[in-house]
Amino acid sequence: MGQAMVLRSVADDLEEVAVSVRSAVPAHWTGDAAQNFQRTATSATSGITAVHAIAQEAARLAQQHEWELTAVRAALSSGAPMPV
Amino acid sequence: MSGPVGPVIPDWSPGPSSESVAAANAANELTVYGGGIGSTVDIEVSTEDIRACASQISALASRLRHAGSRARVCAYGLSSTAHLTSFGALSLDRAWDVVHSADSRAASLDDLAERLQVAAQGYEDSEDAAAAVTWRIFRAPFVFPFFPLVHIQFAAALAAADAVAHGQEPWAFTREGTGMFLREYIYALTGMDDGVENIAALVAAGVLPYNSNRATIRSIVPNAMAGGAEQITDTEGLVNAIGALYPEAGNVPPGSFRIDRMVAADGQVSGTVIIPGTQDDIVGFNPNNWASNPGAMVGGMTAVANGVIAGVIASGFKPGDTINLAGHSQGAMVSVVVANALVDAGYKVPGVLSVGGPIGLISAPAATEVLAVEHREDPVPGADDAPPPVSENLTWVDRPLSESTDPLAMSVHDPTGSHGVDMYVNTAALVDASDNDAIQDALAAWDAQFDPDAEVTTFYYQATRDF
Repeated sequence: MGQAMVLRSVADDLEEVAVSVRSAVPAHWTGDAAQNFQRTATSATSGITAVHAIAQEAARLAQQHEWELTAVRAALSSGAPMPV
Repeated sequence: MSGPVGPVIPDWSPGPSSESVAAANAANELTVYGGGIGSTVDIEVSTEDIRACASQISALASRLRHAGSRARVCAYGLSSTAHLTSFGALSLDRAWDVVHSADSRAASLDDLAERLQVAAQGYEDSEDAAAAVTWRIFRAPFVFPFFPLVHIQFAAALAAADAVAHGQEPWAFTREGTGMFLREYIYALTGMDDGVENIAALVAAGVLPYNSNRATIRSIVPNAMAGGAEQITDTEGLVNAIGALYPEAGNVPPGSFRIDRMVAADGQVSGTVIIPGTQDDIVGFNPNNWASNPGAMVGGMTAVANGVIAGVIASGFKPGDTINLAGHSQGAMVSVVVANALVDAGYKVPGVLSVGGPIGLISAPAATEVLAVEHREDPVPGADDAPPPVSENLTWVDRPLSESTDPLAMSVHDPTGSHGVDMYVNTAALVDASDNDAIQDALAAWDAQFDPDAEVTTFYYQATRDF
């Protein structure tokens, strides 16, 4: 239990990383090379933002899973012991 | 009895290809700086900035990896109960997606960080190499104004020793020796620290009343028997074509330049302007004479530059067309000057080839790939006492002839050889054979011009200085 909370924290971290990557390449660095690096950084940011979205979904699903699991445990608590 | 016993089996294993041998030879002979390296000269960012950026990206990669590890622990946790709920399997899948995606993105960030470190190293190497071109020597106190001749003799002796150390005659100063000597000469007489640029500008203004910067061009028909009109498909061909424009080649009269107009199979129009170097005396009708050198060195519109622009228009090019330029010596400086003028007028100039040109005081257009080819023993590129204008669009090919194993290079002992077109043709062949990434990138700017299937029309013009 508690995985949903951890995954939410992971999602928050990923969001912060994405923002940091976006602003990492010095803005005053201009020219072709700088543009190439900026493009790569922007692409990396998009990728990390996508992972952030997956992590958020994972956290949401894990939360549902945990609620359901709690309900299952509650339902089974009166019966025979189960390896849950 | 001695010798092999049994049948002799020939060795059929393929040896190295001629291309790979030529590329290896080029790698041995040429020192290359450039290719997307950038520089603090024109990008206003320090290598410390870039290294700091690389460290930050690397730290973010670690953070991403750590996030992936935490997601992995969650996935393991979820796996023990996933089968018990309707959301379990899906949440487990998503958790593993996070693990794998985070790891993959972390690897991308590490790659980016590494590339930034390589870029920073490239900046530093190029700037160090460029800085080494300007040779600083000790200046005794009170050189100016009390002991100018002593200092000039001291500088000359050092430059002569350097020339001999590079296999040259004592009077045939190397590139570094020439720059140093001119600077110290000016310092000893005037007290100016880095006076070459100022003096060049002064001389350019001084000769102007006797050498107008206006020029008139006329179309000419070259002496076909002298050659030099072949279609150009590589750097060697370009330098050969430059050589054919010197009057002594017997192909064209003094003050001539060549413009090729190419039409590719897809109808795309492009051009090449080919400009030779200094010819004739100090004062005269030939715009390529010595009087044009100081002005060209500081980026001025000389009579040659004005003539070339008139030639571009006369050849039917219009703003928006793509034109590359190649020049030797004074022609190299003019090439960069004209590139700026053409870009300002709306033309595209993807490439400039500078052959033995002192172009250190002239900035090229930002979108133009400049390929600067120099011999270390050639005094002319040192005449500006400035390092090549290192930038991410400049690829600098330096060939130390005195370290060469090529018999032609080893036979060079003075500027007639080290600055001569023949030696540069030899070096251009190495440039063509090179598999160096920076050279390949620079030559990519010449793809349209080197297209062997393009339909080429060649124009020759002779420029005459107006008085």
